[in-house]
Amino acid sequence: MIGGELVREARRRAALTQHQLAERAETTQSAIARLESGRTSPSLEQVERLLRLCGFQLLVELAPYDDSDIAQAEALLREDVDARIAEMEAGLAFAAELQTAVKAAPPGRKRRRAPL
Amino acid sequence: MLAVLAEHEVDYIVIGGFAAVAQGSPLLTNDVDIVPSPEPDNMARLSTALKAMRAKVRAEGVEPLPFDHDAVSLADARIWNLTTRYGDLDITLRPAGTQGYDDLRRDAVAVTIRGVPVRLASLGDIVRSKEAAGRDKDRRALPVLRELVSRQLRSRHPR
Repeated sequence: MIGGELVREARRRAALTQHQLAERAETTQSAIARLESGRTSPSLEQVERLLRLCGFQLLVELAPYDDSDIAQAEALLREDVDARIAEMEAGLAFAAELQTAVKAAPPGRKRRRAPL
Repeated sequence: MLAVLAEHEVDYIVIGGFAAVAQGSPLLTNDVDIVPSPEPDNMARLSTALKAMRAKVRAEGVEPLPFDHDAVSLADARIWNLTTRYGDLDITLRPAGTQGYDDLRRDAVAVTIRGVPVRLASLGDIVRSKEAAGRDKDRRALPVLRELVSRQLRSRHPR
């Protein structure tokens, strides 16, 4: 699904029709349509090739798995709906307080750089 | 806001970040997104409720603008970004990636929020909509929402 979305996005950015991309890729317009709609799942190599034909390259990188959101979600799942909404409201109020405090703070003095 | 919608017997489904928070998402949101039933009578009740909430159109960097509305004009726009005396409210008849009210109602979750009965779009439908919308803030929300969906599925169908 993600591969198809990427190809559609790249094709649109390149202002190509499905037919034009199909010609470049030596395939059919319906094959591109199926791929973009998620009805077929392209391999990573196919996605890379189609993106290249649209003038883009695919950059993939590994990042450590971040489970901090799900840890918070687990805590919220132990609460009832009203408590979850109340927590969100408290979070928003705190964020608003912080924003106000930051706006009200006098401009900080420039820190001197320590000599090397 | 939800109480005013209930008072006016508006038929709608909550979707987006607020519906996700109610189902366990830790990601904050400061507006409520609703998908009303497009029936003309319901849209008329929604229009009355919006008047009671003193809804105005909100846009970045300008004062909220008062606007005239009725059942027909509300149904005409793809999305209304409003601000009300109870907070921000976004109304859309057909959120990205969905077919609108009837589509969302199939899997909607009935809950009570502060004594008000409310229907929430299922987490699966919220994910579907955010995937289709594809904005940065939607993409950021997807990992935790997908994880919540898979936990729901595991709890419904334990091995």
